[in-house]
Amino acid sequence: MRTPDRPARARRGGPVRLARGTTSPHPLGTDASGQDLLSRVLYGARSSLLAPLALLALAALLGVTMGTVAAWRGGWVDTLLSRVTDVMYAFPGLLFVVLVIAVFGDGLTTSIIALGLAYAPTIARYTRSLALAERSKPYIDAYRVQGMSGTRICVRHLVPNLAGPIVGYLVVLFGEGLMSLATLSYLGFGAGSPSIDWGLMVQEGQDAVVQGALLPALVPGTAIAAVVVAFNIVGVRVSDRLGKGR
Amino acid sequence: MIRGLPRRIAGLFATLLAASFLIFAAVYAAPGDPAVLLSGSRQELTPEKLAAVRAEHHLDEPLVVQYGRWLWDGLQGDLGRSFQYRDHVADLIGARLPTTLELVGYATVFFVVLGVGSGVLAALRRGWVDSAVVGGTTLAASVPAFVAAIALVSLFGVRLGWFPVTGQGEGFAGRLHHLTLPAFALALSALAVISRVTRQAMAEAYASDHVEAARASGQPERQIVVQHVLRNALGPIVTMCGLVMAGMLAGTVVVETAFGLSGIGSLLVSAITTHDFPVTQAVLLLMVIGYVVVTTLVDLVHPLIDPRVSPGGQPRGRKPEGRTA
Repeated sequence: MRTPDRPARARRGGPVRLARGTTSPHPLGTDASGQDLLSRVLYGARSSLLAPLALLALAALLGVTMGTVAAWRGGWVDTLLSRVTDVMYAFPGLLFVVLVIAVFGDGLTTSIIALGLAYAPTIARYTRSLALAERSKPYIDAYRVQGMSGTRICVRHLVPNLAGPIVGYLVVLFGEGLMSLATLSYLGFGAGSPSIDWGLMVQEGQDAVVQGALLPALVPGTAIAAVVVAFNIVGVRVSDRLGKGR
Repeated sequence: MIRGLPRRIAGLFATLLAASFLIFAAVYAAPGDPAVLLSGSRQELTPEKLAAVRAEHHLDEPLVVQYGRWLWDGLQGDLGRSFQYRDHVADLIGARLPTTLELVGYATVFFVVLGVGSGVLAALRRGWVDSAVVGGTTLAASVPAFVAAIALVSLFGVRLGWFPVTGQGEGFAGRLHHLTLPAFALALSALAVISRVTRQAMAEAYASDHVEAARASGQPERQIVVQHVLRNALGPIVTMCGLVMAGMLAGTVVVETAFGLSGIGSLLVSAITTHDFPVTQAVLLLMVIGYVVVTTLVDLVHPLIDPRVSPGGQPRGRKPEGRTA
């Protein structure tokens, strides 16, 4: 990755007044350790953008499987799903994730898995409603008459036909996932200190804000907000198009 | 109202039992000995100390018996002792709860007044006002609370110096002054949700036939808006306000940490960082109870505001937008 400066390169000089404003070698200034902010924000994009993808992949895998099985089998599987969802929904905001982190310790991997578990019921509920409608279509019966097994129909035909709206829904969830992960990093539960992550950068830059150095916290904060705004605007368009394309 | 009540209350208790069991049993899901986790500090673990922890938490008994004991003690106000502060957990929470409730109350005033206000304005004045409100709410919904907190501190605290950036304040006016920025940061995403719901509900009420009829009968526009449009839009608006307010208890975790306020949200964060498990469990339990009880109450109140909604017909506790709230 090309950045104007090495992201983890500290400038020489005492800790005093290292957080400088904009200068020509540092277009966005430097943080409290004298590290170039633009480089760090660009570098931080890697984990800040890849981690929500991993979380959505996990949540989609679990959620789509649970939702499809609940719609296909009905009965106790369906009841179990709605009970699990009810209990998950009793935890407002990030509290379920916080519980998981309290037990299994902090870190980026734990955060991703916990958020994946927290998002899965929402995706499962959505998939279930789509799959119920799809299941009653005549082509499914046609495959059944041919003697195809339920698993094969689901994996080969039913789920691929739902891909459009599910992907559209995931794009909308991406912004939320990014915000949640950044919030966890900010609270000190997510990505740890040596790694470069936007949420963590805001936390590290926070102390300097009171002393008047605003950029170290505001630059990564703006990056988070800008990406989420972009995804929310694009996401709504994409999900509309994918939803209609069926 | 009365017909659906017993079923609803039973559902409430079932959900609370399941959630509290999850919070309690989480200790056993952790890898390793639960006594190690419950003892808090990972250093200086002697066999005697572990045995003491086992005896204190009755770890030798079956899980369900332990859970029942924890719940029974908790209902009587005994939530155990904190490892970190060596205090009763109930006292710790009691000392910090007022700050959190003031913060949530203040934020609720913000998002109800500004959210409903901007939503009504957007519905009444189509054109650029509408576009500005929709654009503003999209932005407000996309900024995480901690980023909003830092931006507010930077602008109004450091640059303009209008509001203090740390501390809790003395007296009513002082507390209000100190809590203004935190409350606004907490209210921002809620404000966006309420504004959208209000605008949508108003637009739907506008399109109905009885508004047309009222207009044809020559009623003044002001009266139509207040008596016909707003009255009919009130149900979804009040429901959403209640749900969003309930979710705010969880939002205090972030905002209290960002502003250094000592409430139960920041208590939860420090309890997790210091592996203070009894405090973590108690705060989580309190927040879940608060959330579930308020969302159930909102559902029960809904038919009173909007008689067209049958009691018990609505699904309970639909999650408001924005988990990060």
